Amino acid sequence: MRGRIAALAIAILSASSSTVLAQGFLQREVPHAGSIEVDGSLLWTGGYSAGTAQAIETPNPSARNSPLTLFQSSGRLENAFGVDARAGVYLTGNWSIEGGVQIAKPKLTARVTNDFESAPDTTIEETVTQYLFDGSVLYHFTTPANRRVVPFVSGGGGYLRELDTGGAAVQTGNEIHGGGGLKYWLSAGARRVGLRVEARVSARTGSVDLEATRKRRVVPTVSGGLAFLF
Amino acid sequence: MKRALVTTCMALVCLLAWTPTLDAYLKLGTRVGTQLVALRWNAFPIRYFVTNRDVPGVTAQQVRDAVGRAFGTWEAVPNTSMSSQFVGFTSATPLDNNSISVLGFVSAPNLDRILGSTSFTYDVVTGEIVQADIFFNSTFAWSVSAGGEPGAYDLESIALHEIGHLHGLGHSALGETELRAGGRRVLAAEAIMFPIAFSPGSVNARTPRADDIAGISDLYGTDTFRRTTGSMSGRVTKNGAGVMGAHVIAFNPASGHMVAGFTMSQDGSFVIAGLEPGRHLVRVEPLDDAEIDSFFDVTLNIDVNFRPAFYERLVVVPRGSTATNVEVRVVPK
Repeated sequence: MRGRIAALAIAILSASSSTVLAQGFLQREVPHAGSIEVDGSLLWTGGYSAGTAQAIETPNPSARNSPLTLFQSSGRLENAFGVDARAGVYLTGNWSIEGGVQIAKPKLTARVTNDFESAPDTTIEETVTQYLFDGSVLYHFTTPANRRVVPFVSGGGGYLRELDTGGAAVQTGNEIHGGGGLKYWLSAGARRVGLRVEARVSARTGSVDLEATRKRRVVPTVSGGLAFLF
Repeated sequence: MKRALVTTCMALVCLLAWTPTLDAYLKLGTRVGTQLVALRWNAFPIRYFVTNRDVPGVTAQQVRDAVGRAFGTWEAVPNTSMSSQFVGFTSATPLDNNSISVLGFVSAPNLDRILGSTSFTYDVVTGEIVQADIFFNSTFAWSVSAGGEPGAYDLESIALHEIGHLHGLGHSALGETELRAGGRRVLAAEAIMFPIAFSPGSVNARTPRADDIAGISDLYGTDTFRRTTGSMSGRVTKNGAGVMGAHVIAFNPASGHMVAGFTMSQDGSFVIAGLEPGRHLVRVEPLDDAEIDSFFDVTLNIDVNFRPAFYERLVVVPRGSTATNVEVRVVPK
């Protein structure tokens, strides 16, 4: 009886082995053309100076030569944390394209100073919800088949949509970005799990500011999270 | 239909507390029972005569031309529906009690601080203005020179201010002054409807500012105006209680425009209409740059004992709607 059980176990193991081998043959190591990568990360997005404005009154020529500044304000979009989600497809073992969305909620602050009638300097705030929908091309310097650590560079562009808390003010713009990072694959084979960190510089036009000048703002972003490749 | 003739210097016009939907800037009004209605013209064009009287430096024809330009400036405000018509010269003066609207010079040396004034005949039931007169005080030196004339007040600038009243606008407090021997001097202003004129020789007040445009548009604006602008409402409080008569300025940093209103009731509530959609900074100040009776009935309990302050949040004014709950807390001086 024991002999039969042992033989059955061997038979089952053998069968399993052959199945694994068959899968290994049919499902190649990733990435290859057509491989999909899905990423989810935490995001840090840098702030920028969001313009200045002066509340100016027309001078009475006999009293003064220049306009009277009732007060002035300087704006800043503050650093913020958010999330970053993206999905991509490999064109070759080294090249991939991806699309994603970054969501963050930075504070827009306005520092009001130099009030003509000595109102206290005040920092005024508003929370902005920021959506960046983007597309990128990535070049990976190595492939997971060679190494676990895969450095890459990326570049692309996107559409920016920013809303105030009540949704009454919607600002839209566009951006271009460039950057790079590392993917560290924790597993091998046809399905991989890894870590991804990336730093970007994003040049944005139409992003929120006090002046509404559509000035191009340069924003650094850093993201880090999990990557799934299959 | 009962009609009352109200003749008063505009500096003394009594501004009544308004229902919230009406109170941007100051508009002239009348109390009908417990209701307050805005004074406004319903029939256009506004037909007016000019007194056929020359004064030193200005002929009657030049008065007609300056007044016509001033009417035209108000009528050029986009998305409003006003019009006027010069009917002719008349021997009548603005102070005569008649049924026609007359603009012109009158010598009033006793009014030694009044450059001009507007008086109305209006329907006390509906608030409809049916006739109005504007007098310019010929005691002062006047000019219609394009670039102004030293020592002479610019007739077009003063006419623009008075015709603002003629349309139903009250005074704006968007200006800064200093006290000097003999009275206040304006340092700067950002509204044609500020109650104190620029000095002689200045022609800086020939163009309505954002506050004036919002005010006239609130009275005579078309549907387009109401669709494309927004408003904000809120309260000004001090130690938890409402502040009456606080001057509330909405500043749009994107355009640089300022539009202002007042808290018009004891609970400190205010509404400012005619604002450009977008982010605004809100500043509150006491009414201390002109005499209070230039704006309000002196019987009202106007509070000027507080420090200027800013609202701690940016207010986003929605297009065609109202940003609410803007509560600005001020502290006593």
